[in-house]
Amino acid sequence: MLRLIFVFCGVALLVPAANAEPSSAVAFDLPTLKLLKSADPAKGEALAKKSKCAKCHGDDGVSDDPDDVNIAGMSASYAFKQLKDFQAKKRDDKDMYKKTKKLDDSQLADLAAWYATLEPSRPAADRTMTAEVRKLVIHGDPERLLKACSACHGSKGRGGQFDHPALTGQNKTYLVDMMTAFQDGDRTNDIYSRMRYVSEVLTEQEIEALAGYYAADLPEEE
Amino acid sequence: MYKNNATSLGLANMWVAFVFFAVAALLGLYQVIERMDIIPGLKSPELYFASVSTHGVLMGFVLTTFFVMGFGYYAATTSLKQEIWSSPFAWFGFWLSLLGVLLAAVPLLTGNASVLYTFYPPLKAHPAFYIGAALLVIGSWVWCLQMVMMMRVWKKANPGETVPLVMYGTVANAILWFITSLGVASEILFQLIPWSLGIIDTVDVGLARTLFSWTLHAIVYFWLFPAYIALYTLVPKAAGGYVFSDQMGRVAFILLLVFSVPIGMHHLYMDPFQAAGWKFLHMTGTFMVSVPTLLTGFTVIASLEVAGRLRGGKGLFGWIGALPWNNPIVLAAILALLMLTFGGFGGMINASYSMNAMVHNTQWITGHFHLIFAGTVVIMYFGIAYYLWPKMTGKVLYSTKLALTQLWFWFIGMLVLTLPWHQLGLAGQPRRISSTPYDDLLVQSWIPAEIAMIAGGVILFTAALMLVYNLLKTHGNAQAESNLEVEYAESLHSTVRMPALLNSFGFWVVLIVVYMIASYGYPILQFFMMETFGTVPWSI
Repeated sequence: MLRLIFVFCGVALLVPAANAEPSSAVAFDLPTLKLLKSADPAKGEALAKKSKCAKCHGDDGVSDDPDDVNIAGMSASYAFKQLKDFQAKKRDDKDMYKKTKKLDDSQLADLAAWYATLEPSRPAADRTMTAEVRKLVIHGDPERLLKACSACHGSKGRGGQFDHPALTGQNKTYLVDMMTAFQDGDRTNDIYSRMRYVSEVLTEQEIEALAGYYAADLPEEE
Repeated sequence: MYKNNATSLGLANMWVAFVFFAVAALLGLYQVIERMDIIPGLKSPELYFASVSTHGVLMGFVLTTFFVMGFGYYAATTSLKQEIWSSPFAWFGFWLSLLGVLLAAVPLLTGNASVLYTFYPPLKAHPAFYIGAALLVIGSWVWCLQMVMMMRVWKKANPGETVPLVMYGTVANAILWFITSLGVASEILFQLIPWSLGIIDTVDVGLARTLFSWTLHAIVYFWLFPAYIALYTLVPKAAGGYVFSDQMGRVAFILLLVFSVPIGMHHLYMDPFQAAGWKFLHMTGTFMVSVPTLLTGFTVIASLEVAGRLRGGKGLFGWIGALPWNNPIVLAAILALLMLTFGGFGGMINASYSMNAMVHNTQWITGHFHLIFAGTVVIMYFGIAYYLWPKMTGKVLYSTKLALTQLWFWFIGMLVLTLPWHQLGLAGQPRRISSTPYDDLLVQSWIPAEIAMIAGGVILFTAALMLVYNLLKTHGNAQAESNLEVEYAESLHSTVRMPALLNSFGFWVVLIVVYMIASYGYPILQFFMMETFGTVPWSI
């Protein structure tokens, strides 16, 4: 009988977990990849003007407001995923939801393709790597099961595989806000909690230090 | 898109594979009809055994070797973004292998090599069969060398970088094939060719069977590797997800490499010339091979679950329905996994020293290897072909609908054919027989299963023709394919640096050599050490 109760409780716990909504619903299957490859940056540029994207993200995809994200040079696949997530309310942002809700996949792909063609922002300040940052960026922290930032975002912070964003030159405030949002569970569109786990383990000081590191530009010799 | 010099080489290899596959499928259809004795005009043990031998050689050695080479060349160049190490040498290997096949075909088709596609004396074939087989193996070694050298050149040019998973698996297979083919190559070169040419009068059957067992099991993994590689690197991406763990794939490839070669003696459980202890050792190793298969099952299903959920699948099993079943390579993977599950259970029984005695040399064995090889492995070859054909030919797949129907036909046909074979085996029907003219009562009880066998054969032959037709029409399609990039799956969890043991093979090759010496050293040496006696002539 006791065994039955255990089994019942186990199933009762498992079923809601299995029914949980996925944190994102963008599958990069062959039709999606084809869509991204055939996207038209010129149409994306026209759509960006019409949608007044520059109001927050700047004329050339580099925002004046440190709270907003620089989107110039962002990989098309990453940008497309974010736009889809805003549209599906997988990433909570009322303004972006309004902007994207009436756009179809092809238009979202065009927008992503347009911003991918722009030159990423190049802040004046050069990057310095403290021992603390070096450890986190290059080695991670095995004791906290924290993998190195460079594993996903690349050794120079220029981004990794198709859904890992570039961080170099991003606004520091924005980076702090996002890591904090992942930490607090306010942003949840990272599949399999990849970034949520990392952010939860980081301290406030580490978030600040890492954001500062990635917001600065790479010295020429790096 | 990266343009490479492997496209025509890959296509040439794969076309040879599939053309001979179609011929072998026709022979298979004849065999199931002949075996049941329903058409008296077809009855001919000579023709049957010549057909079985040709069917087995074409399916087991020609389809597989050429497919593995073609896929390997194309995967290597597209994943490393690097030219073939030596294109003329690679073509030489291709032509040498093809020459070997054509040479072996002559005695096979004329009934002079009806040795059941095995290398088990005292069955003796015409020398041309053995010479042809040797040329095929030597030609495939060229491919092995090319793969190893390509990885070496790439690592030198990209120090510290992780070898792409698809290439890592391909090189693992090249090493596996080279090591495992040494057994049959030694047997052919030093025993069977001299014997068949009349240079030596007798052949040590025990030694020959032991050397063949060296090759006989791992060859199955040589065939299986492309299927596993595709399951890890092509299918998750085609389904819209990620490979759940890149490292798990590497561990599975290494375990397959290390454990599949030194375990071949489970094919000799009933043979008298090896002691029970050696058989037990090999049995233990055989069970270890189930570990990488289970790892693969877990990782691939987890990868598919990620994809299914990203596609909006919900609930415990909702993700399965959300997968792109209308994508041929994804459908092939799902059906392959199903057949692997059925076949895997059967394999555990075959591997068990005690349970093997129940099914040894019965139709159960035929059912098992058809389910695993012709089922799981070959359906993945189809899936890979449907995926790569448009990229290699630059033409849109002629008919996706036909491809999907063909895959379902193959899956259903294989179950209809092989599940009754398992049942027949348990009912005591022997394998390697051309007819069953004995014990009326017993034979009558086999009839329903044998009718199913014929139905399965018809469905499978139809599916084989559908495949070749679709590939042929694709090759001649006027519509150009827009996406020529081969999309390999990214890992769900990235790593900065892959541990050296999962990014190289030196240590593992040494380990295999040690393991091989331990498991085959004495069993082979004993034939050279023990005193043996010739047969006693009748006249004494």
